[in-house]
Amino acid sequence: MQKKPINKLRIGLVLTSVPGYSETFFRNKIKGLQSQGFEVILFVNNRGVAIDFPCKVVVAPNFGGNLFKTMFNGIVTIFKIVFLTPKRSLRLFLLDKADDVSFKRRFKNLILNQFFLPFDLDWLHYGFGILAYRHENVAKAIGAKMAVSFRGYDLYLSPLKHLGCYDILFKKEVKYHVLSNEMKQTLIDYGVPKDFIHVITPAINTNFFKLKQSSVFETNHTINIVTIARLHWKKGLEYTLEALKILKEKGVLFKYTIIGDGDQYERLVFATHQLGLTEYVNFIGRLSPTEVRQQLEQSSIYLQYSIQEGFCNAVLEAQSMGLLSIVSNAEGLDENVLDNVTGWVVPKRQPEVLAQKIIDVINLPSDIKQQIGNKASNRVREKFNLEIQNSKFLKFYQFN
Amino acid sequence: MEKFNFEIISVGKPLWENGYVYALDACKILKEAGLPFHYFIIGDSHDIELQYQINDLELTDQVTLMGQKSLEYINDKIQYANLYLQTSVKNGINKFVLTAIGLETIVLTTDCGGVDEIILHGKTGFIVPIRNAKLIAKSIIEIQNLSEEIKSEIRHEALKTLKSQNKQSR
Repeated sequence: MQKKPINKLRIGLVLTSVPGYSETFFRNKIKGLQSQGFEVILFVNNRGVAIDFPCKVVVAPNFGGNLFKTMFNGIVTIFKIVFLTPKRSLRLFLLDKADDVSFKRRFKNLILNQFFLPFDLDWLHYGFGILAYRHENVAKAIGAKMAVSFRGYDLYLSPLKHLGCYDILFKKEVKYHVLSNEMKQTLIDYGVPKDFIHVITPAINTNFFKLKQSSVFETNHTINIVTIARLHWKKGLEYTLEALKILKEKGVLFKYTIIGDGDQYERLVFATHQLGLTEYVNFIGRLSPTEVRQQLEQSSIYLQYSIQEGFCNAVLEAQSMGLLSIVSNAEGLDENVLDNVTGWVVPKRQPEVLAQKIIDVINLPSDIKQQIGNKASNRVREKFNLEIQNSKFLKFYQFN
Repeated sequence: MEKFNFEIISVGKPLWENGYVYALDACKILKEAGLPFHYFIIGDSHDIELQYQINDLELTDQVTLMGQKSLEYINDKIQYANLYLQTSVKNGINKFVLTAIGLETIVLTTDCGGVDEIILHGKTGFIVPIRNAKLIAKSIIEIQNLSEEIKSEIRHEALKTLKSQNKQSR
């Protein structure tokens, strides 16, 4: 058994793989917790590409490889269930039984979850809701409290893919972390008691994404518009391009840059071509944070016309640098940007409305643009900085 | 307005090229306009983008995604429907457009290349610009409001054009 140190909270964080260098959220979170004296153990299904990581990493045995390896891992796991963690294994088996999980599924759960069982933890925290699916009783089996984070995709899209995937989870005593009040309301609608749900918004390094000095709001120049997004349908980039077609037809001079890559590249390049925007749109792929900052520095308008969005760090980065941000009303975005105060919120799936809003924003007097950019930057610096996020996570684990 | 549901059907996998996103946006407009309709997409019932859009636009009572079906089932469904809808943004005529004409179901298609060889707008079917949910919805309402006599004439003309083209290609 992996005993936990006395007087030191030990948190088991469950992710699919070890976060890469660019996945700053979990890296920052782990560093923040460690700096507060917490011990963090990361549980992952696969190690991924990251080699170094600032905490202990436990990788699940692989049951999807070749037959020999699967059989070998299966036998070793059964041996551990019987001789290393018999009490906890039995508890997990019985807890699953109480949830009416079938015998076959209970046995599978036991095999898949055995690698958690030797650890003494204060918290077992699933980094994404869908990771808790079929693992709902592991925390209780090892005597830990259970926490689950939802990030947007797993709350709004995973239940469409895996019908009823949260039915068992939502009946458990779990502390939830969500990114926005909208997501909190969604959980309440599912029947989760509101006291179980804690909103901790994303945060960014506001010292890195500082308010830019140069003003790029002049209307007689080409307007540089930018979006940072995975090339995924949920980011609403096809609708964005349709809005930009209207802008072009109205004679607005602009250049649109999309930072990010993804599996919808062909769809979006085709739409760009078909809408006659080839000369206006640049797909520049995924960039490092420094390169992202350079692009934001050169742009005046930031668009995030998503169809589905938990909160969106990129909009925080753009606002922090004082860009004029226009976003859709998808889930958490209207909490990220305050309409007419720190930017503008328009209904999703309506390119004509988005186009008109962009034109209205371009035509605003310079001093108003500057004011909105400054307000956005101040608000992000005050409310969405890493220190605040770290202190909220500290409270999340320390208080019930 | 007819009291029964106006049935609309599309056949084909939910690939982006088929432009179902625009068909569903059009359905939202139809619902808001109070048209009693039902839209069937036969191809794959587990496409998460379309599933999300149907939920998001509150169209679960108006739209059904169906998995792959037998040709016999598809033909029956097309024959029974009031309208065959093709919302493609890329590909030309889908073979089920021809099936629909053959089974005397009116066709509404986007202008996605080559459709004018068989569809003469207002005469043998209807054509709308690509990526335009508003015009798709407007056309559906107009088609639904046509007199039975005009609908019958369009079905007949479309079938005649299809047969004459088949003869020429032999």
